[in-house]
Formats: sequence, structure tokens, C-alpha cells
Amino acid sequence: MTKQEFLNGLRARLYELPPKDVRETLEYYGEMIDDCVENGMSQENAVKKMGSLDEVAAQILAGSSVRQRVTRALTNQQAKKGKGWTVALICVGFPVWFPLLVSAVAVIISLLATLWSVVVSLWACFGAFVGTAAGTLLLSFAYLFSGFGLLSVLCIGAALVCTGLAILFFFGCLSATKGSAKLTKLVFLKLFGKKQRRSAK
Amino acid sequence: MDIQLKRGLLDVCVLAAIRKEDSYGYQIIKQIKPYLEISESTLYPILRRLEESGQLTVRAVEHNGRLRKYYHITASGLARLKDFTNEWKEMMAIYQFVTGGKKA
Repeated sequence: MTKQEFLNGLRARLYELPPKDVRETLEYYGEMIDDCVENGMSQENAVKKMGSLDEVAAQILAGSSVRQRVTRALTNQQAKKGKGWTVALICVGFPVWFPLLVSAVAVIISLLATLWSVVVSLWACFGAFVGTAAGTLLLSFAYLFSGFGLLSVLCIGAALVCTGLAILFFFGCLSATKGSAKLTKLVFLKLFGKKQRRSAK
Repeated sequence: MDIQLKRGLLDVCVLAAIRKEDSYGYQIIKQIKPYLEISESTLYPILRRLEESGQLTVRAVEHNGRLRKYYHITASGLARLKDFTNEWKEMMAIYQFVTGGKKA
């Protein structure tokens, strides 16, 4: 057996130890074999001198604390079991989680669409107020030149009211748009940003 | 030799082997071999145990393009050796008692 074969065999037998302990053990035996070879022994004989793989491994495992080995064995088992179960659940649950996922995304997108339609209608209201203000102003001029002074004043009043409302709506619409944009960005980042980061890995 | 007794003696021998100067695995075995039967595989758990209990420390030194671990005795390791020599006086008394009466 070569040194490398010996170390590989030892590694395989120490799987229940923490990786750090395995590494240190392999370093120790590697060094010991190298030192034997350096002192004139053949690699074959140096490996033989270490004893049989099973004996060596048994001795090391007996020397490591029981707690270490138990926790290591348990985490190994759990990791194996956990992985198997997760994959199985993902496969079996596909008919359930896939439609749920799709509908959840659909709900989020429709909520966003609703939000944006509110924003659009707010802007439409703003436009309507501006339009009405302009219209009534024109009308007041028309009345003024036709000699209906009272009606003209009424129209000017209406135009002023509409302008005031338009200005109010303008600021309302602006903040609503900004808020919606922020929310949309956030939602899209949550939905797709993570996936992009994951696929980037 | 009794296993428990040998275990304790091996610990002390390893500490004694690195008392004067730091030493490495192969060298330690060579030093102890004339007195006690010791193999590469028995030395390893002893070194681990002594390191875990703080009686020696390990450092890696480059040697011929590879790393070799040198073991260095700590104050606690030295104290252990001192304890052993003190205990040995008691052991000698017990020895006298066990073999007692049949003194030549």
C-alpha cells in the first residue's frame, strides 16, 4: 500500500469525526510515514509499520470523545435525511406549490396593477381639474364679452376653485406616484432580485 | 504491564521526551522505545490528549519541503512531571510494602 492509499483509507474510516480532527490525523500519519522513509525505510514498509487501517482507525475513534462522535454522526444523518426529505417534498408537492406560487405572484402583480390604476385615475382627476379650470376661464371671458357680468364672475370663481384643487391634486398625485414606484421596485427586488443573486452564485 | 499504569507512564514519558527541547513524533517514539513499548498509533491519542489538556502545544515547522509538527511542553506539562516524581516516592513505599517482609 502506498502512503496515499493508506491516508485515503484512513480518511474513509474516520468519516464520523469532525473534519478538523480528520485533517490533523492524516497530517500526523503522513508526517510519520515521511519521517520513516527519510530514515531509510521503504514507503511500503513505513505504511506497514503504522498497522492495519482498521486497527489504526479504531484506536483513533476510541480516543476521540463520545460526544464529538455522536454529534457528528447525528448531524451527518440529519443532513442526509433532511436533504432526501426536502427533495422528495419538492417533487411530490409540485402540483400543490407550483399553482400556489403562480397565484401568489399573480395576486401580487394584480395588487400592483390596482395601485397603479389608482395613481393613473388620480392623474386623470388632476387633468380634469386643469381642463375644467381652463374651460371655465374661457367661458367667463365669453360671458364677459357677451355682457353677462354675473355669470362671468361665477365662472372665474369656478376656475379658481378648480385651479386650487388641481394644485392640491398635483402634489397628491406626485407623492402617490413616488410611493407606488418605491413599492413596485421593492416588490420586484424581493421577487426576482433574490433569484438573480442565487443564479449568479 | 497493566494497561492503566502503562497509559499514565506513557503520558509522562512523552512529556519527558519533550522536556529539554521540542521534538516531533518520529523522534519521540525513538526516545521512548528503549523503555516502553510504543507505536505510532499509540502515540497519536496521547499527543492529542496532552494537547487538549494543555500540557503541550503544537507548532508546524517546515522540513524538507513538508510540514513537521513539533511539540512543546507547557508549564502545566512540567507540573505533571513534577507530580509524577513526587508520586513515585509513594509508589516506592508501596513497592516496599507489597514485597515487604521478604527482604533479602
